[in-house]
Amino acid sequence: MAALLLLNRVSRSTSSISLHRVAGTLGFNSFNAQIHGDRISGTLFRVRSLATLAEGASHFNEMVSVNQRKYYLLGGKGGVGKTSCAASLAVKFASHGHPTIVVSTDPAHSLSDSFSQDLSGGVLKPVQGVDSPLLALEITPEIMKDEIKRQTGDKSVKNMMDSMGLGMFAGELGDLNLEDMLNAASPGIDEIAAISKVLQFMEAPEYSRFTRIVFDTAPTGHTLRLLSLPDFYDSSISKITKLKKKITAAASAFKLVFGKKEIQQKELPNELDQLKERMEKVRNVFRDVDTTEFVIVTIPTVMAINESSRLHASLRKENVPVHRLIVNQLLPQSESDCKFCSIRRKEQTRVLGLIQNDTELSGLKLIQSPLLDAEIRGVPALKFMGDLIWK
Amino acid sequence: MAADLPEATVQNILDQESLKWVFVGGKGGVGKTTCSSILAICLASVRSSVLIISTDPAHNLSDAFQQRFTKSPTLVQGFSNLFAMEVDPTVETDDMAGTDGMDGLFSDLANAIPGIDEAMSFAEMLKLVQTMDYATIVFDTAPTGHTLRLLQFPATLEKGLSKLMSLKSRFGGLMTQMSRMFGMEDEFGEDALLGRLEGLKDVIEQVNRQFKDPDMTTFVCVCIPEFLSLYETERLVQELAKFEIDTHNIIINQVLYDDEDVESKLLRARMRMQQKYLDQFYMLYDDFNITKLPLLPEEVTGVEALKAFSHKFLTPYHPTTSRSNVEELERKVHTLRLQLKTAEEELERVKSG
Repeated sequence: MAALLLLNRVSRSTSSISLHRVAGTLGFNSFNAQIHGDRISGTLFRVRSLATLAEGASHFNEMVSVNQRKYYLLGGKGGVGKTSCAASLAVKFASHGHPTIVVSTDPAHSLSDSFSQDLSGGVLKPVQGVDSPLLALEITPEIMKDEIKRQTGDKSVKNMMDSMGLGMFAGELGDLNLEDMLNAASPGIDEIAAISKVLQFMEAPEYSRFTRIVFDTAPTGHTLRLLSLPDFYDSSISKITKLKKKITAAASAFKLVFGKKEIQQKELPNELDQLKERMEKVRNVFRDVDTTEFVIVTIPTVMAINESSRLHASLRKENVPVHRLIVNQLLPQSESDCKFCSIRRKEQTRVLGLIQNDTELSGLKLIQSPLLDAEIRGVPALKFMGDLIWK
Repeated sequence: MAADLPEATVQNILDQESLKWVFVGGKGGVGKTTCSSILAICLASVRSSVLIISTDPAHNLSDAFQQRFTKSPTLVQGFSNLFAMEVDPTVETDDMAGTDGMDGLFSDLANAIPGIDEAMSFAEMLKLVQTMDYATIVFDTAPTGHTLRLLQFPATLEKGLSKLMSLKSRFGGLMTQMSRMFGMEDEFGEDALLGRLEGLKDVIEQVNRQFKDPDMTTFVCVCIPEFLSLYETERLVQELAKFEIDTHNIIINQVLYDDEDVESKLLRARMRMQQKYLDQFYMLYDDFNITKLPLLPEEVTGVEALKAFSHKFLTPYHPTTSRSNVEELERKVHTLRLQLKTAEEELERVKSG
């Protein structure tokens, strides 16, 4: 406690960072972005902070100071405001001179709602109303499944048999098609396709100048699945490869009986190797301490805190870097307190105390976000929210 | 006039004695677990036995009841006929790749399909639950996108299993003859995975029929009066119609009422915002049973709190409108004085500004 008080008195270092960016190809003007450590004055809401240590630091300076490309994944329990936090972070990055891309991998897309702009269709679209370049993308599962199908090649059993000289039996297989089952029973394939797609974007020259990538992820359950998908698909691809070898062996034995000695053994499709390579890349991006950060978003209820704790445990096990925890929907202090707010705030304060005692969450930098009286939709509202949260 | 409107409670679910499967789903964070827990408690009072299953990988059922649950049904403390379990369809994956050669050909064919493990585990769980003979099973599902995928599994498995059976019947005999010809007779013993598949097929067919039977299965949509939740509910209802799964109950949670205790400017602003979407819900779903639940200042966890809250599921909530306690009146006067002072200060600022 004494140490905490001492740290609280350490004078806050003011850092001034000047960013000069000239984008010749698109004719952007040169500009300077001055970032000061001073807290934004005139804040409408003040929230009593239990994390005095965190309050002394200028978090956003850390987030914005490096020019190297960085990935931010925002995840957490459903309905806690992940999309608003992700969108406001993207807007603030763009306002500070970082060309930014924000991607939603949540099956229940809400980026369009946050920006009050139709962003569906599975392509990158510029967000209107922002000074610096900001592109947004909502991944559409159907489109991604088509791409995955093309990338993994035709896995129809009929074609596999054809390629191994067993065409005479192909007709009898009728319409047995692995793709049908693949489409219907592939949980998480949209998530992996989304990340893979974005990584493809990143390799394209026209996107090389985008230095901040923000992911609005699906609720916790999907995120946990997302983390294990690369391993899952590695296993699946290995099984497919093994299956091919077995069918080849069977075909070989069959042909020997009939005296045919020539056996054509086609090479494994390159597409499978490419897919495996992509999985590896996704896994690496998730675990790179220098370029990636996962931000957990939650609300001040016991159930949500417990889920956040479990999420952090899983992320730690998977070696995904986590530094920040956002607690959203906090009731602001008010002079004219009604009984309802008073009881609720007392409960929320108790839950904030639980965070300090939780072994998983107490080490994270705590960011408090207030409950607002209006819906956060549109760029001006997101700027307002961003200034409240990302200081 | 009141008789023309569907009743504003979930009493219809309790009255429908033929119901076996009840799914509770919706957007993340709207209170699905609380609602499914309370629904299970209500059903336990009118059914011989009730099982509640969480299929959300981010399980909250243990938090709601404040009791640890596992992959096996566990009796909920304080009840004699209510059980709970948390299952994760991806956890159990039997490794069928033990054998080399042609034995495992069809096993590998099935195992190579991404996601088939999850479907198989879900099917195994359904089979297990069927044999346990519960009167009603309540599913606390994952957020919408995940749930819609899960509901497809029975139909998908039925289709896939039929094709695999067909494949085996056409080529299995040929393989057997070839192996005998080369003296590998013993290698083609019983194929373990396909044995499991055949065992599951009948169960899956039965469950698939039951899921489409409105007498046996219904889906309860849980939402909150906000735009995204309204949009998500509409998406959910449409997908359920495609899957031929009955849905006619909507629970709107976290509603702010014009209550005695709700006086702050912030909450009143949010109340006005909510009213806009409540109106849209009633317009869109005029033939649904819509139950409204109030936003409580405290969290609803633990059996006692769940039981207390369950009354609001069966009786429409009416905010308290009269309070004669001296202490309450004094507090209210104090609050009004503060608000008046704030308003006066603001008035002065506007005048001089």
